[in-house]
Amino acid sequence: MLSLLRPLAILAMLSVGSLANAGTIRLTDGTRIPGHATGYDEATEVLSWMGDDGQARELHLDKLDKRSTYSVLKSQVPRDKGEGQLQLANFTRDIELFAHAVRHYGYAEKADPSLKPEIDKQMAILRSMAAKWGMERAREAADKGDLKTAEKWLEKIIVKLPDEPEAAEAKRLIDNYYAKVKAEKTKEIDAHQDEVLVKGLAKAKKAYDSMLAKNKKGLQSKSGSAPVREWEAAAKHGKKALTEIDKFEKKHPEKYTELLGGYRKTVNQQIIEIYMHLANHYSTRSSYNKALDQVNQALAIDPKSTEALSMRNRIQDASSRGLGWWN
Amino acid sequence: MRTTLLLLSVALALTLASCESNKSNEPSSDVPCICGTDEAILDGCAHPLCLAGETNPDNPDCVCGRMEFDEEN
Repeated sequence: MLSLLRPLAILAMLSVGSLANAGTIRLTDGTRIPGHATGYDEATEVLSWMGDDGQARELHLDKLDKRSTYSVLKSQVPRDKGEGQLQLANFTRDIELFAHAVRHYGYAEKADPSLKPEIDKQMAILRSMAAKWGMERAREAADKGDLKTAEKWLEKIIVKLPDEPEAAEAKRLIDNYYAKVKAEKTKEIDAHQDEVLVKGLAKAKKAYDSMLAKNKKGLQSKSGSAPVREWEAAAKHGKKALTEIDKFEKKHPEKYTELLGGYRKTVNQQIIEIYMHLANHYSTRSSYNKALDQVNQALAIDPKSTEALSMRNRIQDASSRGLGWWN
Repeated sequence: MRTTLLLLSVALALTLASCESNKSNEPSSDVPCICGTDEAILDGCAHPLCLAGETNPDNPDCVCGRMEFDEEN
């Protein structure tokens, strides 16, 4: 019995070992090769890769796609080597993995604070590249008629990269999409024939429209405290809309329950979006506590909101590691 | 007696506060891994493994961790 157990135990240990190193490498033509790395020669830039098919391959970095190349290079640079992290950050930025690059600039500064002037210079290039890249995504979406996605990218540029020239362009362009995208969400209530409903929810609709108007004003206003004022006012209008929906439901219990549930969801989604704008605004200024306050308000509305939970994770990570956001 | 009660209350309050703060500092695991999407390029992925600098084995596009090399070679 014991003689059988021993080989099994060894086999189990071996399989755990290979699982721990398991991964996938991707070539420039898109081919994926599952397996694990067995070595890398810095001088020749060749990665030795053992495929799960049992075939050993020698792959020059030129043959790998940008994400796999980044993965290899990252493994060669210790986190506490400032100059190495700076070079890695520049490479990562140039292959348009912007968020990864921001992290490496953060590591570089932490490892060697004397690099800060150079990091600031390179980060400025990153912000400019990221804003142009984001604007391309917005244009691509608009060309396909996907206004919702176009509007989403414009908003991202405005709140994440407010000082870039593209943010000013995004503020202008948002006029083309904002009304149409938001109108789509209230199409149902606008087209409703039930007079009791239309009349009873008139105040809620007015408050909702005011919220949208204030949100747009916040997106289009110049930097400083103006966007915060507008977004805070927008959130208040949103809450007013919810109060009005509640009042209407009390007067007409049961009849409109499902419909009103849908309206509440639409209003809540918009309020959460506004809190996310505020959280982004504070995060870019490293006011992480204020940013977390906004996220917590969003989570009080919807504890399962993926956007709010993701934002909270990012903020906590940036503040606990002492890494900068985007500015 | 009063002092003991007061001390106990303070200790309880501090314990509760520390539990709460530990809980809220844990990255939420309800966040999906979005590595490989356009959104992640600008926002970054907020999945707990990615934030911890590890690769998410469930997403072949994830490159958040360091590539590990087989020790035998």
